[in-house]
Amino acid sequence: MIVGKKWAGPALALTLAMTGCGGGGRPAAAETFELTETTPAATGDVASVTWALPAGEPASLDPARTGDYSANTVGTNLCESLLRLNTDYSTSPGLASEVTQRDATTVVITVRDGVRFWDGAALTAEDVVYSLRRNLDPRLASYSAHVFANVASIDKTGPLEVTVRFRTPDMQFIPDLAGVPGAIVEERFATRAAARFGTASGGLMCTGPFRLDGWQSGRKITLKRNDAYWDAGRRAKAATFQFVFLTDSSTLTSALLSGEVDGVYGAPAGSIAALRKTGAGRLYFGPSTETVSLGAVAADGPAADPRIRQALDLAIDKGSFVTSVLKGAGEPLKTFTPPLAWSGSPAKSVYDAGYAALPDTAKADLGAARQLVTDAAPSRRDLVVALPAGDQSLLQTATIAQAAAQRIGLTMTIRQLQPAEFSGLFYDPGLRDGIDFIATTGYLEVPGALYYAPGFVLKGATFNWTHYDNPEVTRNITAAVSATDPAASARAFVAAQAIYGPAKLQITLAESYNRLFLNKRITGAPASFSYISSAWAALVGQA
Amino acid sequence: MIGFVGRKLAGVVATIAVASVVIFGALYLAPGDPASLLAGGHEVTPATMAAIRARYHLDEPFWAQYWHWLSGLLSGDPGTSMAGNEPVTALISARIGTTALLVAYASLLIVIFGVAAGILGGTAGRAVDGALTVTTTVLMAAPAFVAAILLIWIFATELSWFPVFGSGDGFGDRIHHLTLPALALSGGYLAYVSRITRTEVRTELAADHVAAARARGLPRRAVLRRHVLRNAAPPILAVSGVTVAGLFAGTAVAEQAFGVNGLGSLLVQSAARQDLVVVQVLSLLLVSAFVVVNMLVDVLNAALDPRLVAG
Repeated sequence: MIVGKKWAGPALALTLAMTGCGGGGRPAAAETFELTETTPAATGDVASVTWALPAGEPASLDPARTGDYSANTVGTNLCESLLRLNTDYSTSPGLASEVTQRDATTVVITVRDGVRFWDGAALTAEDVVYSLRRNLDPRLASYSAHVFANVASIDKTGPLEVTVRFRTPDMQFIPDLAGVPGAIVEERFATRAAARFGTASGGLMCTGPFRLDGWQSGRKITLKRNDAYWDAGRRAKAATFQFVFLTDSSTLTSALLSGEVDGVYGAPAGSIAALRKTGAGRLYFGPSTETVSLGAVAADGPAADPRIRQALDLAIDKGSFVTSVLKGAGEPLKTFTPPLAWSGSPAKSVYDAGYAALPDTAKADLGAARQLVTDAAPSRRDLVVALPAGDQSLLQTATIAQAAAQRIGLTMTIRQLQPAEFSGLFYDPGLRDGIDFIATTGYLEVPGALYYAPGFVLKGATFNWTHYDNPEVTRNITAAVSATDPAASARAFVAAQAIYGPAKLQITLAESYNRLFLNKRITGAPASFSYISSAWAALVGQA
Repeated sequence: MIGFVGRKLAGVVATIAVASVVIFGALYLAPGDPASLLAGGHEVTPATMAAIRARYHLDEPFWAQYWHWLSGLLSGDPGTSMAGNEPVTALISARIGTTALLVAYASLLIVIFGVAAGILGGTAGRAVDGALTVTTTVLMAAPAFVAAILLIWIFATELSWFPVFGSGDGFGDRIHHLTLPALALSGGYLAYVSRITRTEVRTELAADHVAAARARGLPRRAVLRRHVLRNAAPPILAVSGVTVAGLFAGTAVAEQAFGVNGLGSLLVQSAARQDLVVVQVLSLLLVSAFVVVNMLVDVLNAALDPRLVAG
């Protein structure tokens, strides 16, 4: 996602800084990148798989404390959600056999019958109510609290029925249940473990195709197959699945090449060339919701002027950005919501048409950009772009923006902020003083065109830092989040996007393809970014 | 001698006490609100932020926070990791053995090969000395992370003699896993110790008493052992001691590069997450290790050469 938690893991960034160009990759300008949503299905079981987590050891596996690469990559195989996320970002029933939007402010969840936790206890409506309500507790400080911001009540309304009521309509809620916000844990176990729930010593109790077997702090997390898994068709193919923490990209690449590690999501971009050449396995590229952007964060000054943002957008050549920073493994985007977000929606065609109609600014147009700057006649021409310290790819991104700004008569200063300072920007307007743009990467872990837009474009919304206010946009977004018909919602969204898109509240540079490496002995893992919210490891088996 | 050790010990305690204030103060003054990281980076209500601040005493004045921390440390409870909700003692005890083994391994390499190479360079002919000088220059110039990349490429990927990453289980396997990290860690220090040793040996060889001993017709080995090495030993020991003490800080790079789960990689990871509670304890631990090893070297030197006690 564009905001907050989703910028690339600081641990990874730090080691990239230390190893420099250790990966030894060369920009793959002339190479082609074939995108695939899935890898060939596994032909049989395997005894064990060793998987690397390039973002390091997860801080916690408690779904309420899960919201980054490592925790999601591991945790979604353990604690399942009410809905399942498919490789095309469509959803299917999961622990809920059905979720229905009864009216604009009521969602009814039917809990699947016959599901058991790893300890043999049956999944109940109480567990579902407990798991969802946890996100409302300020002391728990759930990472998913924002998903529940409009929720008025969560109650059991039948033996296997839970009803969620809303203060204001929120069409994004149901798709959010396909991610960590909809993950279900056992109430009895979680209340007993209390603060230790989801840690190395506290453990977990969920229903997933794997159970947590061991977590040796700093060394590895081991999952064991859940042989009593409720969905026979999705029983795990690997008897054990081990996760190791390899944040150094050159060490990770060596471990993949030598076969010590079987696979990884988010293979180092700098090692694309080496990983494509090796006979040890295969590097896949999949569609993704990961984006790289420059976000305007100032309520006044040049960045608050749409013409300056448009000028900067036009000055940056997105194609060369993809080549130099993403090593070719990505493509320019027209707006901050990437198309994979809606590719599984019944109203896909409406969204696609709306996206196609947006102006294409992928190629730099310095003449038009300079004209916009002249028209805007900004009060000052010096801008500040902030980024989290140590993130090499964001530093490259900011450097590209800096060069582009210079070509259109603006000066841009790069300011690197410590992690706590950077994350503080999202809560404390005072910390944004003197900063015009931030460079961020982000992703959507759930489907939904409405995941980003309301927070960025509505008056007074959390991330509307430029105080963007357009009545037409507000009317359409409000209609989109209130509509119970997907097509009607899509039409309203597209109408709003046609207006706010060109205003470039976020200068979205590109989508970064999902990079999956699999050792030649295994296959089956989804190649699309959907792994971030699905029990993907269950599919990995013998090649 | 007891007075000497007592004075040294008092110095160690004072140094660690000052270090604790400096470390705590530096992280207190570090920019940014750690509560914002703990909140997970999404939209958060003021109530949530207040709950986080209260839990970690982030809303209290500096000395109150310092007192919470210090009294916890002294009572054996250094607190709970902010990022992982795990007790810091659990995080450290899971890793301290690996780091201690790595430091011991690297220390042995440094002392044995560093001193041996130095003596060889000081006593052997020009060709051997020249070769050693080139080798040590290269070793001194190569940072640990560069050495790590090379070692992994040659010995793990190409030759498959050693694993690429990890810490191993059981003593033999751990030594197998820690060999490349220990080599990467010790390279620069080893070269440094060998240079110092060579210079000391050369100086002693040129000294009058050595010339006299030679003139008396003492065998070469005896001259070397009794006159050269005995006099060269204190400075070599002092330098080796400081070097070994410095290894604790060097483990951060080596452990990170080889995916070894020691205190160094924990420090890097915790610093990246701005997990203040863990960073504070680890920093203090590293400072303490450095100070204590230095003290031990001083005491050892004094035992070898009682004249130092008087000074």
